[in-house]
Amino acid sequence: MVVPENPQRELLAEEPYAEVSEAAQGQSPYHRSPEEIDKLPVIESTLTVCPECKLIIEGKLYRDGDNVMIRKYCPEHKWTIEKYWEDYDMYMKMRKFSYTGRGFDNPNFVTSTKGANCPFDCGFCERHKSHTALANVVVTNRCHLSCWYCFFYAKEGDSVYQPSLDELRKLFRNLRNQRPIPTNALQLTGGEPTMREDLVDIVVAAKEEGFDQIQLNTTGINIGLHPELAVKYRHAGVSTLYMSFDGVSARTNPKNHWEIPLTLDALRKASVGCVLVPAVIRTVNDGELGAIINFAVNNSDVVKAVNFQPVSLVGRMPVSQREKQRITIPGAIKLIEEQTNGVIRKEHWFTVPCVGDISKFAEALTGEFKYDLSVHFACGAGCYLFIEPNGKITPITEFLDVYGLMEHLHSAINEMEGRGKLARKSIAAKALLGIGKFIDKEKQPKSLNFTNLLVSLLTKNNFKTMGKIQLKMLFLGMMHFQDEYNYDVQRVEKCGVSYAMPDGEILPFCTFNVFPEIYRDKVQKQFSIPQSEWQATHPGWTYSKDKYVRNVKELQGTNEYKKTYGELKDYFALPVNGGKSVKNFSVSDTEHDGAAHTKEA
Amino acid sequence: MMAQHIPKRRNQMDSNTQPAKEQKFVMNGTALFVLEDSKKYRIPYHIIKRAVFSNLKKADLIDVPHSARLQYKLMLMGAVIKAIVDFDELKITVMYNPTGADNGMPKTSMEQLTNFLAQEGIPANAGSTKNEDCDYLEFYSYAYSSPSIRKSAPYSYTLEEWEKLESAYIKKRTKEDREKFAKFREWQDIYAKEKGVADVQSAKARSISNIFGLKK
Ligand code: SF4
Ligand code: SF4
Repeated sequence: MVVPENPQRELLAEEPYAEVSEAAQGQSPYHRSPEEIDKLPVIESTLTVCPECKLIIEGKLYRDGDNVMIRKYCPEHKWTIEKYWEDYDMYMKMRKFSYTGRGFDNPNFVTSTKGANCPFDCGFCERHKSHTALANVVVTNRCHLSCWYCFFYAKEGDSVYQPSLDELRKLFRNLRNQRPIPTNALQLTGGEPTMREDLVDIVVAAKEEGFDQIQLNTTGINIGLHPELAVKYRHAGVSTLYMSFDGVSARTNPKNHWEIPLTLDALRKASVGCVLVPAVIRTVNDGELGAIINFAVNNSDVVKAVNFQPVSLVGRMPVSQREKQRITIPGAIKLIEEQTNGVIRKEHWFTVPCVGDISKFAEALTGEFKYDLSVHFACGAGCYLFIEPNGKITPITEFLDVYGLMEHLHSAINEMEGRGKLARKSIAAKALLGIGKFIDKEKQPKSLNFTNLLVSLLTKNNFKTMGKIQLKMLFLGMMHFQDEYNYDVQRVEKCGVSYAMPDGEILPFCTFNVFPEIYRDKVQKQFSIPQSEWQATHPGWTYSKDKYVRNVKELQGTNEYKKTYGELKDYFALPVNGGKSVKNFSVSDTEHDGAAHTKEA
Repeated sequence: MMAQHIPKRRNQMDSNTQPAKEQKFVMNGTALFVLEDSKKYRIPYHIIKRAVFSNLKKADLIDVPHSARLQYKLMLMGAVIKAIVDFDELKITVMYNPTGADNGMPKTSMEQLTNFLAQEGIPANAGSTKNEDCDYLEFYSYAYSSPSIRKSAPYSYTLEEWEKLESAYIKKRTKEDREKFAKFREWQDIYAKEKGVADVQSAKARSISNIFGLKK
């Protein structure tokens, strides 16, 4: 097989689902024989890797009942079968919005292969097809926790990766030099970024280098216990905290269950918003997805978004375990529909690239580059919720025909092509006059004039007028990071989430973290300092001093804890939302001692 | 529509590339640094080696996927800094940290590399071989100041149309960036007053004491 220079997804078949034999119906898609699988209709072909030997091989996406599966055959390691997307109809609907963006005019790594060896030619190479929408920079690999599943933090004896302020500034500048669209959103990550005493200076430097949005990827624990940090970070320029939150109970969220109430309180006082980030694992916390949304709605003065991350299965894993834990974006979306009693339904979600026509429209109108979310349709999905004063929750797509609107914009973009400035303006004005028909005014929240908001978005490419509305909003997002089992080269070459590395290269999230042995760990090690040297230059430092010791009883005794978990309102039980309790609303196994992740006091 | 042309192009893995700006290499104990604009940046290597195996046989490299896997396998070696296996050009380029180099990183030799390639089905005498000194800074500097190798235009503009708009766009963006930052500074002042934390203007605040090991 020769890798095509510019592989495009080709739809191989849209034939009706050929039923498998009756005996095989209801059987798990993981346990079919190759002969059975061969009879199932293939949707399309892509390139993937063998999880064992990393040979780039063909991946066939095929339909098995409601599932889209990926199958791949390595001559040495035979078949791998994995769930790719747990809803065929949604897959077909979302793939229509797939488009190819532009990569970089000035790729950081240029070789004669021009990216033919993707995903091993990072990065960024000239084949890459999206610009950086969100850049990650690791500021330290030290962490105050020691989560068993985490590969990111320095263990006892490991070398310390902690670039100096000057070195970080160099990374920021490198990101801001990307052409034609420099990223303006940065996530400072780790390890635990708040372990750095000079974090304020780092944020100041990032701001000075031109980043508009600065997120801190943190457990929130240090901020909860030292609320003055929230004010300092906010003042320096942090826009949002990106905070792990795997469930509303202590069992599902042993990482920061006890501190979250203090953290939310600190953020509230410092006027900092946060994004809750649940990693979703089937059979572990998949019963609390609705409850997490309800928790976010309860705290929507400070929680601005929930970003669900269906688990990425790292390391060698037997089929039985993958089958048990695997969940994909539609899988999580369906559970949310069940758990919120149909208030947030599957048709309410849109795929990330579907909003691409908004930036294209703005570019065509203004002749200026705009942020372009050209990531692969299977990578992410989103949904905006409006929360009215009476508690009614209305997803944006309940009253806005997003897909219809995008088609409408698309024809205007086509019409503008090759026209002069005035003609473009008049085509745009005509298109804007027509957007009202995509809004169901009966269903939109009472205090909202959504048409005005849309016009602002399309002409200025921002939602600035949102600030003036009285409604609370919550964004629900999903991003399914890849792993070696479901790996799709056509997804990663469109990746918009990147990591800046100390050697000057910039890589997509899903090569950096899926092949850490040749990217993340390899390069960080080159730029790390042995723990002995770290100790010598930081007198008094010991590994164990970095570690957080939790006092569960004391934390449970705080007013913030009692209020946050004890006075939760069930929004889904309100008559305006159908009047049925959200699933697992009253999860309260607070007896969990939290010892799984931290030492006992 | 997106138009592109290729004004210039330089392969990072090729020799004779020049560092983009004036740099000085310094050593502090066993740690290596590069000095740029009087700032110090830690680097892991200085003079390293570049091995080029060219005129290889198609049958040995097999195809692009096998070449990509070989590249991956080479990159797995701790002493290999960067590897490119180019099936079209039938060439393997490996930047590696040589035995005897003055740094604490894993090292390897040409002999070990050749043996490794032989194990992978590329016989030592398969083509022509070059092994030369190279400066790690060439690679590092390129990545930190990569030049444009092509040009894009905004959607629905041709490159010719865009060339007429570009300078106005750059001016506007620079102005907007400046204004945005000034607004941010204004906001900072208001925020500091609002939160009663005038001293946070030590946004230069050097130390946030005692946030580690929060012992109760
Ligand atoms: S993921 Fe992107 S940067 Fe990496 S090799 Fe593929 S196309 Fe190139
Ligand atoms: S990080 Fe992974 S899942 Fe997200 S856009 Fe990139 S390739 Fe897709």
